[in-house]
Amino acid sequence: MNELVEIAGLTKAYDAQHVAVNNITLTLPRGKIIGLLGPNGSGKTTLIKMLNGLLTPTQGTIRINGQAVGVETKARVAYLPDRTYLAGAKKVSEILNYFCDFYADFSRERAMGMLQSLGIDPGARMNALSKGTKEKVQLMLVMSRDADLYVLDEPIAGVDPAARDYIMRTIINNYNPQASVLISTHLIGDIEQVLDEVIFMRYGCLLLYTSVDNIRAQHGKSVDAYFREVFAC
Amino acid sequence: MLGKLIKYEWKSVYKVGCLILGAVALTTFMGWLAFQSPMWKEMETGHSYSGAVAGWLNIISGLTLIMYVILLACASFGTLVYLVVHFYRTMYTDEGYLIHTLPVTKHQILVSKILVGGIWMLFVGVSLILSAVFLCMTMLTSIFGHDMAMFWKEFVPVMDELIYMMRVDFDVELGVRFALGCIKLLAAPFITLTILFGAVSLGQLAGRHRVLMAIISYIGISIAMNFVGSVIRGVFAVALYGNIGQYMWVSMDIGFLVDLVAAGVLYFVSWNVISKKLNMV
Repeated sequence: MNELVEIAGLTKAYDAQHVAVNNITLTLPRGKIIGLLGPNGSGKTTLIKMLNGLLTPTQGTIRINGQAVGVETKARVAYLPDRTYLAGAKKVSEILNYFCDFYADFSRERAMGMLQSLGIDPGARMNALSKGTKEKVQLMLVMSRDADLYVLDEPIAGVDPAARDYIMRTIINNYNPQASVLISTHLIGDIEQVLDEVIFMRYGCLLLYTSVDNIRAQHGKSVDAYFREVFAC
Repeated sequence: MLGKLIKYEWKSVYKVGCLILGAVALTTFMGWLAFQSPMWKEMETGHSYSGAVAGWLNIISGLTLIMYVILLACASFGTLVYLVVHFYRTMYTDEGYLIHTLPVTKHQILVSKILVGGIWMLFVGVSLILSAVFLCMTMLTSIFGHDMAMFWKEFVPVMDELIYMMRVDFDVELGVRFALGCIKLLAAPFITLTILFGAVSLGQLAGRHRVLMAIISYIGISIAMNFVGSVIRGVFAVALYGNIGQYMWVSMDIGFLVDLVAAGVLYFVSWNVISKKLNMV
């Protein structure tokens, strides 16, 4: 079964006037790095939250590995939110223990290696770290798992360019043919070189889902340039 | 997974729990200190200690005892408030992203929080009872001094008479009542927390002002519980007319049963909210 994520008729309406995701039907394959792109308020984060069970869909279904979002899918999906969600008083090492205990696919060795590469002290408390370093810790936790699906919501927004390069390398190095990575970002230029496919969203609707090669072949442009053309204000 | 959730929940609340227990111990010591004032000796000996120092000591002693009562009330209420805020923060704010993406069932999450919170409330409750008993003993020792033997000599027959009166006049099986009382005492913290967590979860169904809605939900739940309890008590008041002792116990049982049913309903509400209506915006 090559389909990893199957989304059918997915809608999320916060109220009658505010429909964040509108009737999206989409199938994501295994072994791809997919960019989830769109302007602010296009519904990217809402879609990601529904994939992770943090928002309840108003309508429609999501299946990951053939299962509805629940305990089994959460064991196989590694999620990086767009905010700091780790308690400030906790030490990085305590958070590692937490992830080791709950996620069978978490690799402590890989996590320690990444911490060392990023120069982060495992004994440091989260509230003593800068915003960028906190984001690196969160990304390290996600990428230390052997998940089927990595969902990264704005993974490079708050970090310096050097760290961005490291993060991109980490994503590529940890990528395996059975897993897929879904990355939501505004910084298309920085991630374009690693993307296989892109999803464009606007006003909660699916505008486009195609391969990067297809955009380059059909439109003769980079994804960044094509995005600017499609979403020009 | 439940064991792991309990372990981490315990780790996240034990520091504040220990702090509150420490505060209870310190407050108890202050209460003990207050009873060392000459004022209490005067009650024992009838001899009046005069002078400015004795006067100040008496004032400080009185104030310390008032503070003792206030601080113990704060310890009990503070524990409850801390546990509810902790529940809200770890379930429905940014920190909730962690717990709601763990591969665990919603029942496991709720049970771990109710169990650990209830145990800490029980610890604090028992520490408050022990503190009050210790202070009562200190007070009696201060007042009666060397006549404690005489005090017990008078106290035991009074208690015997009370027990006899309850058994004969009010038709109360004391063994059963004691066992029921222990069960209620042990269950009360867990029931209270489940109801409060349910109110917090109900508040999350609102689009905005969720904390305010949680508070309003709790007020509504309390009113509904009191109303239902009063109606049932009214029915029994008619049925048990003239048997005030029996009615008193039935009335207490009704209160407990209403709390228990409310806790069951609100546990389901919490589970339903985090399973089917979760909206981490």
